[in-house]
Amino acid sequence: MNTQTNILPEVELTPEERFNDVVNKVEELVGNPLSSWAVAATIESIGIRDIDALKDFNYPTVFDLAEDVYTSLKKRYSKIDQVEEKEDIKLGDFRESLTMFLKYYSAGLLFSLPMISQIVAIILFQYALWAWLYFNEAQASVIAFGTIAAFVLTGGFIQVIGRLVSKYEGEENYFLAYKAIKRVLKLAIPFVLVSVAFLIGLNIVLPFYPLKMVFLAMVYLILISFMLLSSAVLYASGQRVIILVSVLAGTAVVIFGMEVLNLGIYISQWIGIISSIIISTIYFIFYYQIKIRTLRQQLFKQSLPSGEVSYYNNYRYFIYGFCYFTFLFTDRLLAWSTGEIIPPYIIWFNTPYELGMDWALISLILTVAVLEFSIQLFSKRIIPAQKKAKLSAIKFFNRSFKRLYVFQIILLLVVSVISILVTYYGVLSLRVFEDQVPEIKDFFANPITFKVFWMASIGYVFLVYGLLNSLFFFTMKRPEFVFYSIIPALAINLLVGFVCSRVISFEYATVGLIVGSITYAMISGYLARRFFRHLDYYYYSAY
Amino acid sequence: MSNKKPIVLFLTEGSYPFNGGGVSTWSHILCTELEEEIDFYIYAITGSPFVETRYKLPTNVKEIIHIPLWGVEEPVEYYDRKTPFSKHIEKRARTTNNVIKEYFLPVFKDFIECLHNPFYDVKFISDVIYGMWKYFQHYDYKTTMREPLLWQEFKSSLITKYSQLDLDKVGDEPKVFDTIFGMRWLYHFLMPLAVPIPKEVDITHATLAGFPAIASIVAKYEYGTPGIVTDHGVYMRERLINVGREEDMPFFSKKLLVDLSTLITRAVYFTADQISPVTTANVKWEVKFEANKDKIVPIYNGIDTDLFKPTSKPAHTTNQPTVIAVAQVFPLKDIETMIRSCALVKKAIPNVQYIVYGSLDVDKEYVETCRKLVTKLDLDKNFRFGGFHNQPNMIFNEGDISILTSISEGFPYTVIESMSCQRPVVATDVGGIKDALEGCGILCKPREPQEIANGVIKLLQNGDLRIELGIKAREKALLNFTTDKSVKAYLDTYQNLLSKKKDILKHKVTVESVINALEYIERGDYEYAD
Repeated sequence: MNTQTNILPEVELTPEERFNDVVNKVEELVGNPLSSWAVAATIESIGIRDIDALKDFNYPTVFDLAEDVYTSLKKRYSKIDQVEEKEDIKLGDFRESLTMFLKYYSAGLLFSLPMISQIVAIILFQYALWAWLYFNEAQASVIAFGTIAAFVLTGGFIQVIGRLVSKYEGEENYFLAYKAIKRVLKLAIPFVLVSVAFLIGLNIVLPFYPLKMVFLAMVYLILISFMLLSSAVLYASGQRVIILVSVLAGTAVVIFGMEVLNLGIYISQWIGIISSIIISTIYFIFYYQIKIRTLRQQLFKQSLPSGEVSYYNNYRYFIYGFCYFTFLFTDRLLAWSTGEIIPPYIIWFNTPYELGMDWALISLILTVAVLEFSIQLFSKRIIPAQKKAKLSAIKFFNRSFKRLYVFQIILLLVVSVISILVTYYGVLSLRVFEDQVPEIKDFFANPITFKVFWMASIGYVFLVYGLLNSLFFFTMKRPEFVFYSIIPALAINLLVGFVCSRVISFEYATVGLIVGSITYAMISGYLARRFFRHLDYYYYSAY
Repeated sequence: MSNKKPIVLFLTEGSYPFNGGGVSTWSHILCTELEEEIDFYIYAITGSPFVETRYKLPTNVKEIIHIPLWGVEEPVEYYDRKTPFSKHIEKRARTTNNVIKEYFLPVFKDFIECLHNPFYDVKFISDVIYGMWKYFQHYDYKTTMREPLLWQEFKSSLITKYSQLDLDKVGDEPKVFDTIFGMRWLYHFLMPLAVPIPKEVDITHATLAGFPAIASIVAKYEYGTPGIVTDHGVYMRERLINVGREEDMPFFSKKLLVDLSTLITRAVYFTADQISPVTTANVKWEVKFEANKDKIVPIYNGIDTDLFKPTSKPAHTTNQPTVIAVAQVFPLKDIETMIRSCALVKKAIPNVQYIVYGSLDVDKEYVETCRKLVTKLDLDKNFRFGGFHNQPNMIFNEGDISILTSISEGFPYTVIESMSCQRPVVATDVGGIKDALEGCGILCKPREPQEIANGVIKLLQNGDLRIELGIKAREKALLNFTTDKSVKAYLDTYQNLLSKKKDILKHKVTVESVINALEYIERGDYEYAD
């Protein structure tokens, strides 16, 4: 008898008990039912047929049984819980936001470590990957030209790599991410080389520099371009520590080349940059190969969109990248191409100006790190808020995120001010060593450095605000908004910078950066206002 | 008379030729068997864009129109490969805010009304679906669907609609999430509205009454192309079950999805010339969704009876009463009841063995539960999971009889395959099993181990009855469930549909917004002619 009860799990039930049993079972499966037909389908799916409905439940058909089950269930779900907040939606608590801030702000700062490592290397060893304390102005001009050209030429590709890699990695599709990287690099590398050939050809027709200087600039341009591209891949793939490792290793090679092998600065730096490129490239190749093999993604037939479609989907990102990096260096090019003393060549490095810009760059690094937090916070809050917000109160949903946005602006302002002050007084405090270290004395010797620092720092506050807006636009797949903001900003930067540097004094090229950044901030800010006012729409249409 | 073969636009979703499974097997057999008579264009909706054909396609599959609903930024690149992308950009450029406002928005408003009332006049719904398709043949789908006006319309219509509901009775409140994802679903699921229908198609054949069958609705309107829909399961019934059970989906999102499916299914049934369930068991659900009874002609699935033929038991089961089940191990197959029935049979026939062939990977947790039950009931020597078997035609001949304990089924191949092998089946009386098994097997109530065990004992202990039912089963399979018979039924249907006069429904459109859009498009046609 015991075995019998073990084998047969169910005991004889009354029709009423059976009915309640069905109600419970349906509730367990579907919760609040959609309709009596949905209940009927569910009842059938648990093995109750018309014949059972009649025999076991006294209903002519499953549909009749379902009607009553539906009614019973609806009684259980009637009187919905009124959510307390009638209008405003609480997006999250402060402690959680603070934890996120600490986490993502630190992550944002991590990205600047390669740059900081170069400053430290200069201070300790006098060398970095493409800097040397003892470069003369001619050398500095050539290398600065190569560096700026590398950023401008690769800027578009860097942005496209970032976009494609985050898209495919977001889908955990490493196979296509890797394919996309290869496709972009196959375009970017020839593009850089053709551009170099073009610049050399141009210099032959219009001799801006002696050929030797051009050759030097072009070598740096090519190497730095390739380094930026390989770093862009690592950055987009979330492998930021490897960027630091490759930069440190490259720097070590430079020091070794100079101190041990006596190869001279150029050869040492070239080998250093090449080492860095090799480390980054080998790493990302292995990274993707391992990911693809582990996840067996090579087994599926997958392909990237056709060239035409890829171009169409990415050209805005490309133009943005190009404009952004051009924007960053416009003031330098304008300042270095004019002055009371006519520069010997078309672009001539100005040390006090560059020091001011580098100084301001520290404040930019400290400020820009906050963006990582802002975008992560937004992404984390948006879906839970949508699930919580009542449709009838949709405008309050938008309003809540507008508040979140305003909070981000305030946070950005606070961080900017603190960053500028910390940077200013932090660097200024080095003056106590000025008697021991003559380079420090030289650093503070020229008032132009101070002037440029302040102007650039102010410009960067607006620039970072524009970047904040742009990040929101990119997240919601609206690159056109970024496009609309950066192009006029670049034009204004060029125009105002040109006029000021020529009419007032060369260092006032930085005014172009300020006014350009304000333009960027204003246009993107205006669009962001619209964006947050209709966030529901922009979220819907982000496909 | 022309030698040109008729072309069937064969509409699938998540199945042939990119995925495996019962519907795909059936589709492949149909296409292959009609290699001489019919050409097929496969119109395949998939979730992901990254799929490859799982079958060696016969030569009469002339084209595949692949529509990936998700995971691709420009789906047009897949479903309209013949048109250069630059032409699509031109189309995008002419999809101005004004065109959308004047000619699409009114149609969309009507569509949203239908969505809120999916049981509204089905002719109206079908007209609107056609109007939308016609518009998208001239204007860009993505640009239109991303238009803020449409979003505004959708949002405010939901607010209005839901404000009229007694939410206390409904038991939930619509959220912003429902609206955002609801409209996104419209964008994805209605993508077939953007897909051109090749003019040369003679017949449409939908393998389910769902979204791919939008093509059959619009082909009927545009060209009068006759259509047949095969219901393997009943699309709406399955939709109600699956969407209802989605745990992470809010109530109103579920409602929206079910309503959307409802109106599409009703329009599909309305415009189809023939509705062919694979079992009569599906008919009551089809009728619920207003399928005209006169159009319903069941066509059973068929199997290769030369392949599934009786042979003697192999050595390893010869001396042991053996019950074979072919089923993936997951709850719908109710393997637990099967195990319990085995325990009951064991009391009468101690050396009985049950072998279940089928994947153990579908629901591993459930497999573990079943294994524990086997041990608990001391059946380790009597109940075995055989896993996947690469020669399905050999499986049934290993046993004396077969068993199926499902709580829900359509018209399972496993039953007719066993019948064809002359092995009588003890099965639960669900779905279309009765159609197959009546008179040649034993039907039981689902979830009743004792009743099932009684059937098994009866057949295992009574050799004469087992042989008699086995012979009857084979005869019935040969008579009703052969591939030839099934394929011929479809070929006859195709020929019958071809012989009918084409009824072009676009001339009968009565919805004002659609008429307005059609007139505008007709006027502008010459401008956009390629």
